[in-house]
Amino acid sequence: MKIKNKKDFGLGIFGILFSLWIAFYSMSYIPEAKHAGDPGPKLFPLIGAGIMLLCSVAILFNQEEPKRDKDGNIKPFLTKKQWIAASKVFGIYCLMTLLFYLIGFTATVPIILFILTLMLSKVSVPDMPMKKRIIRILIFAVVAGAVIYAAYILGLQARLPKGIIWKLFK
Amino acid sequence: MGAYFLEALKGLLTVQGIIYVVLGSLAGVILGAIPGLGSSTLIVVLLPISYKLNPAMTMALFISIVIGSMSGGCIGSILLGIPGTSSSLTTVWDGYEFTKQGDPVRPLSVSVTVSFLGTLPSVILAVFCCKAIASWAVRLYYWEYAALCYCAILMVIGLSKGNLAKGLFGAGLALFVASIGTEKLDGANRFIFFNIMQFRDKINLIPVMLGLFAGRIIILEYARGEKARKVDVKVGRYKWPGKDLAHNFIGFIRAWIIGLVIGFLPGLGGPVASIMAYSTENMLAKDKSKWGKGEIMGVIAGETAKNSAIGGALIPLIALGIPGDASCVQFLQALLMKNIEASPQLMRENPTIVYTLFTAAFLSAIVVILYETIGMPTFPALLRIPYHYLYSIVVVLALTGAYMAQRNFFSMIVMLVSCIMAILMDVFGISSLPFLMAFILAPMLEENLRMGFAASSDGGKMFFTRPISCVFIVVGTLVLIYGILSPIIKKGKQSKNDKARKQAAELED
Repeated sequence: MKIKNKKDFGLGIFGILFSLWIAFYSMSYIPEAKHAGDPGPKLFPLIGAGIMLLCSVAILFNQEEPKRDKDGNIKPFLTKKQWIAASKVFGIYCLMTLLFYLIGFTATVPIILFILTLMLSKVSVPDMPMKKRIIRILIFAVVAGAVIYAAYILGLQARLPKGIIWKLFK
Repeated sequence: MGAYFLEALKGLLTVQGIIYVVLGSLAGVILGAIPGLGSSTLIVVLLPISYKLNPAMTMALFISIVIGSMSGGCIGSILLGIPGTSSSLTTVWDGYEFTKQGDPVRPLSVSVTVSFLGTLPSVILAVFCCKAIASWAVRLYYWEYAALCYCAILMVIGLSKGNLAKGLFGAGLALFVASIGTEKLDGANRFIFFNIMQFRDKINLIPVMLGLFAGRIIILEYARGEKARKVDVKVGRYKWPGKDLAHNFIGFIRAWIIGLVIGFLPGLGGPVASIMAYSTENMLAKDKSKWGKGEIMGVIAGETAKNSAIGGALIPLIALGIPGDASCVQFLQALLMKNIEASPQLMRENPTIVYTLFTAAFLSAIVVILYETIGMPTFPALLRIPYHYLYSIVVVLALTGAYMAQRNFFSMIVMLVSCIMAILMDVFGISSLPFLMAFILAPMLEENLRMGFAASSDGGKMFFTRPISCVFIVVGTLVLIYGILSPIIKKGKQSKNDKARKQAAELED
């Protein structure tokens, strides 16, 4: 088989393996139906696996022409630099999840607001002097953090994590 | 019906109701204007906190955001040449040309007027259609419901643009993700990985949507390094576009009908409606020389159709519980969070919610037109909002919302995984709409499919012997076949044309 589009080829192979795994798991570990006439709980995952298997084969044998730029080179979804930038933002998401667990909602929000806004501002307002930018973002993080706190904790009375780290100091 | 509307109006004319409709509409206009964000991002961020709100008020807030955003989308298109929302793409083609020629007020005035004129009658029509369809649909049983879900999922895949196999792949993936956890009918465990307790509760749609909409959008916007957009245009006061409307009245009506019909079909919505209306008017135009260079009918067609699609999309949502687009999926989820099932019984069992939704749609359309006509000179300021502040707030609210969806960290992890999955789906060209549609309809489809089999003694023949069920199955299958065949036919035609051209060239030589 000719590999016309690496992405489609990869998706096709992944889809076939994944759907076969779903089918194997469903047949081996999901119990039979308890009621007469009912096809049982394994029917639905098997339908999903069947659809994925058929589509993966179709994708594999009918690969699309990859998108190209003006010079005829294959256009990447994101460049290497852009993937690094994307990973940084995703890293902030992970950091927020971790901080939520460790230091709780109240302390996490202004920290994340500050870090993320500072990071994003490098792209959106690149000409602003660093000192001015930091002061503005610091004020924003504190004020916005207070507003979000008031809205969630005081307004909605939401039960949000307080952080496990503070328990050590009690 | 009148009594319900009065009751809804009473509820909305309270301080809380007015705040929701006014703030929702204005927030919608702002988010619609800013390229990259849209109503879906705001609604999905608000979804987790909506559990504290009254369901009718939640619907009022959400529909106001949708109407505001749909109308506000034209601002970015006309002033920046970048569509604020995907539905405003056609407005760029002609609307931005006016701005280049130094007259942004004319397309803006036309856009805000036809947005209002497109929305209002479509919602009025939706009120009557919903009632009629819902009273007919209460007679549907397991077989018809399973067939309806099948038809809706296939319509989304078959009619939406993009690779059909990849759309179906997304739907298959959604069926697998929806299978994770303890199933409802037998209580059997499916795919409880590493014996983690949280898998038993099934994967919640809210963190999935937060990852798909909010998380993914912000990552990609930052990665692609969108610079601050400089808006140097000055916009004057609104001018009543009487002449433009009178000259293009028939085209306006045509675009309105196209929008309504396309809005009604699952999975198409505003973007397809505006493109269809634009192409139809372009095709019917006697003088095509001005199209793409500043033709006011181009602006009228796209803007009217995308707004009339709002009323169209509300019909299957209210009458049948079938979401037409991503916003309707979020509406459905907001109701499910309150244990309210969107079904034909919704109008009978929860008329306050339904009529508050419609009344809020009317009020929101009025609020939006008032703001847009009076505040037109402030439009450039909306586009100057520094979005690094906005994006970081969206991220914080999205992750907090993910936690609140099930009050555990597992939910935040689900959002992170969904975010990665959404980006990978983008990389491989898999549209997220079929995935989302199949994911929300999967429980309903599975339950009705299995109950249908269990309740019929003939091994599922009832799905085909009951006329309505059979019609849905046939329609869904035909749409799928059309989706498979249409690119093949197009390819065949193209290669025929290429051959003919080659032969002609050879003869000339």
